[in-house]
Amino acid sequence: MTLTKHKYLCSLIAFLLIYFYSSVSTARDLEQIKAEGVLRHIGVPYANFITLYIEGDETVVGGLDAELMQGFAQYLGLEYEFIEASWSNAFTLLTGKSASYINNQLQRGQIDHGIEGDVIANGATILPWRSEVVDFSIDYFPSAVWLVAKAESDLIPITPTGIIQQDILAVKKLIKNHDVLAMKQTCLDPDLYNLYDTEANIILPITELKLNEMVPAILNNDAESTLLDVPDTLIALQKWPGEIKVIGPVSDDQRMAVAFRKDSPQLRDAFNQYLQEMKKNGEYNQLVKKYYPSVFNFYPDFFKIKHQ
Amino acid sequence: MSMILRKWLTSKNSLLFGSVMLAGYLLLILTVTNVGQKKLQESQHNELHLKIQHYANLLSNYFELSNRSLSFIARNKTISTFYANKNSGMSMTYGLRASLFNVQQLLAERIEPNQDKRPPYFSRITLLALDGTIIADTAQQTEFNRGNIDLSALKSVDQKLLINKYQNQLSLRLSTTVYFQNKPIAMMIGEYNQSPIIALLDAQQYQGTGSYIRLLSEYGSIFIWDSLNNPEDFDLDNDHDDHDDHDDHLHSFHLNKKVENTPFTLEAWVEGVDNKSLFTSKWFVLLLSLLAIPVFSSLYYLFYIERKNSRLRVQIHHSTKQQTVLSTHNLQLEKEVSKRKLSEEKLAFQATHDSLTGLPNRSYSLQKLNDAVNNCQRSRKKVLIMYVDLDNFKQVNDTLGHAAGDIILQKTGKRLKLALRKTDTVARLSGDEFMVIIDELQDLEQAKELAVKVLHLFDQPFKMNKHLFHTSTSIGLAIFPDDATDAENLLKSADMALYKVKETGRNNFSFFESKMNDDVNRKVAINVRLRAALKENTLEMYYQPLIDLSTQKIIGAEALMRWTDSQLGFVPPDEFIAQAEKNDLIDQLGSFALNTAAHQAAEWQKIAPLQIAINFSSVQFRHCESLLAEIQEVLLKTGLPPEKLDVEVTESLLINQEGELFDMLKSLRNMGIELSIDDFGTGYSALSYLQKFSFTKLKIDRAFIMNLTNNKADQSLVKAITAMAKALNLKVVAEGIEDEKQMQFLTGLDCEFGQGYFFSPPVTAEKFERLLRDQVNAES
Repeated sequence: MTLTKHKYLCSLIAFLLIYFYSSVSTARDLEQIKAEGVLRHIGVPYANFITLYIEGDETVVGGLDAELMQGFAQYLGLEYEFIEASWSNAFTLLTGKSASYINNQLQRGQIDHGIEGDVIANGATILPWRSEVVDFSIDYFPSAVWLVAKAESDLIPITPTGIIQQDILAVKKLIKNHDVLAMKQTCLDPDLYNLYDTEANIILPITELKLNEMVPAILNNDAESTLLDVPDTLIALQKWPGEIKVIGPVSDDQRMAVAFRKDSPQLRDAFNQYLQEMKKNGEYNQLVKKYYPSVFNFYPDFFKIKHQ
Repeated sequence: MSMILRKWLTSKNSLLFGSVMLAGYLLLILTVTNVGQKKLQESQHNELHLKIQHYANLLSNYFELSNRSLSFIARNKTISTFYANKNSGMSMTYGLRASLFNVQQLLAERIEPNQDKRPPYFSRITLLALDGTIIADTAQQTEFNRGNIDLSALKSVDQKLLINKYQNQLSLRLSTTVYFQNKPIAMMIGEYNQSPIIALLDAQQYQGTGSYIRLLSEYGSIFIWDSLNNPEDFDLDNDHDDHDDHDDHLHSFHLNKKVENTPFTLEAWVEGVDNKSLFTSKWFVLLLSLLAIPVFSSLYYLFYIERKNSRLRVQIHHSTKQQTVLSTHNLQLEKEVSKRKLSEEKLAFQATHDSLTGLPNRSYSLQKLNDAVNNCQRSRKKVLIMYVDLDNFKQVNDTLGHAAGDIILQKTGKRLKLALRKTDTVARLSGDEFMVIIDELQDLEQAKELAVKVLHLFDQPFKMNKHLFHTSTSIGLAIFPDDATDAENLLKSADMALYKVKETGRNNFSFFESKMNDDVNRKVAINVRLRAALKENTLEMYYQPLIDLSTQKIIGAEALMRWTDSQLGFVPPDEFIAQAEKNDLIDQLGSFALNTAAHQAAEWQKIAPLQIAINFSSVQFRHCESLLAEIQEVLLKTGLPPEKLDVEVTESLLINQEGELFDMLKSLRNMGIELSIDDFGTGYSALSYLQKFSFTKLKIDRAFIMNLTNNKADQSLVKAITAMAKALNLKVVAEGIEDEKQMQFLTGLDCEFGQGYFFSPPVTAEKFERLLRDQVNAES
């Protein structure tokens, strides 16, 4: 019920904001979105952030981000619309122009494909290159990238030293000459972590894989090991118990957040507010618990509710 | 029917039967109650056993389920995943922690109530590595009791129930071996949630009975519940190790049941099932048996009542019987009374009426006569009474019998009644004597007519059994107030009139004349004076000389009695003798005569051999034996020679006399006494007597002699008599010779003796003696 109250409050504020900025903004922002009455959520099926499953002749979208966005739409008093995307075209759909990280640098496309959605929420890791393309909301999910190998693999999980840098180094040492499956444009981009320097055999899948297909791939012997972000790893560990093992970290602690167009600050602000509220009243944690119950164990501090 | 039923119901036998039945019934009740109680107790015990067994089974099942649940947990994929991951060498930091987290999640889940809100089996699950380190624990903050955890021993078994005391509480845990790749890799220790165990049994709690249940193990007991009402009855010691299954608690029930597959024993104390319910308590049975007391006392009372009742009934019966008796009595009495009344009436009637004829009897008729007299005194009318006497009625009785006589009397009565008016009284006085009272008599003529009428009533003979019997009556009449002034005298008058009629031949009537009264009076006077004369000896004997006609000499004398009474004067001998004969004085007279004459004759024997003739009345001969004795005595006394005595009897003596008289006269003759028949020819004579009785003399009556001279008939008679007497060898004496002619005639007839006035009248003894002396003197 607080949500409803908040909702009304926020919508009032939003309205005021919209009114205030109405003449100014030509960009597609909250006002316009509100006018349209629908929040279009771009989502790449990924782990438990976005899950798609077909029920009959319907495609049902679920997951942490889906729910979050659905809540956000409700919060704004808008309809919710999900737009399926892939890691490669997500930004394009949001901004209208493609963006990719190639050769350790951002490359923007020029073609205006049109804005299809207003928000990307699918457990997107805040990456520097991405931040240039979009504005991230307050982070809402911790992450990291680990190296996951088949259980039979002779890669032995490192002994944690307690210092992540050292652990990363240890892992990097290990993967020398080992197959490592990675995925560009995602948080599993090897370039992000200078994996090529490790002299590991980085395999990039020919067909675009969904992140949750990484593990099946290694299980399929497409590779010996794969990069996998923590959420996925958590899921994978549950899905294929005893078949995979985590070797060690490859990245520092990362954060995930919701991406907004740079010209949708209001929307972003609105979301931040929404998120704060959610976090404050514990609803967010509940939501997280629903999809990533084990994450609390890994990142307890992150999910501590800070009472102001 | 109901009477019979009631009688039967209250009879002693039925009551006895009823009481026996009742006793039996009570006994049966008690027995049944007792048996019932026992059975109830048994069943309750059985029930309890079953219940406890059931509890035990429940517990057993529970433990089985819980064990299985833990087993499942132990085999859960999460755990195997964890171990797989662990086995793969993953570190906690990188990945394993997630698995661990999942394991922890799993364990945490498992200690939460499931979807059905069923409480979890375990309150704490701890995953221990085989080295004893705690891998996961749902209660990490709480110290883990390692008390009885011998991991090396435990890992060899699948599951083991661990019980020990931890922090003063019973710790109930299950160890399940976690297998990874078929090898024990860890121990999962689940701490049993005791509340569901308790709740499990609690849910089954037996309502109504106080009970105490606990799970007993060698380390202690888990208290299940206590609903005892009287816990002090139970010796419950949680640390009590004595597992004796003893039932020494009075009313409690102690059960032990092993919970299978557990080291537990379910111990239960159940409060006495007996106490619980009123109907199963021994008190109830006692009360019931006490019930017998009022029942029996009521039975006794019933008996008592019945006895009383029966007594009452008997009494009632008695009294009803008495009542009936009394009523019958009453009836009888009434009958008797009526009978009595009737009989009284009858008696009254009989008292006043003659039984044979139904006519008023003497007394009643006298009463009536009195009434008639009284009435007539007032009305100045006359009353006629008639004494009607049946003539010769005695003869009727003698000849035809008394029955016939009675009939005649009855018929006489009837005839008289018929002849007379209803107002006239016909009464039977006695025997054959009837009295008729006719009041309202007009005159003498009417009386005469009536007398004639009555007289002629008897012209008609009486017919009896084809016999005709003729009778006649003698009627004596008297009229009031002519003949007498009161009833008594009237009767007397009539009686005298009747007497006169009877004397004058009967079959006649006569009115009373005063002369009759005189006659009667005279008769009575004679009677009286004669007795006095006898007493005073004023009777005299006169002697009339008996003359021998041939010698003209006194040869004897006839003694004749003479009586001159001071009052009556000279009373003729035939009068007083006749009276004496009627009045039983004749014997005395006769004795006097005999004695005096005999004595005198004896005296005179000195002078001359005189014969004395003494008259004897026929009446005297009624006692001829005593007369004979008297004669003999007198002869002896006086010394008179028997031949000098001459007994004179009249002809009437001889009538119908046989036997006795004959013997007596014969005796007299044998003694030498002479026998003369006096007044011959005047009475009834049977000439045969003369011979039969051997008379010596015959005396011709003076009646024949009186007119002898002139009357030829008399002469002939005398002649005949004399001839006859001579023929019969009898001497003849002629009486009443008064003149010479008579004497000469008689002498001519050769009559031997004579007496009469010609010679000498009867003279006194002195005179006779003088005469005799003169004669003797003249001879010499």
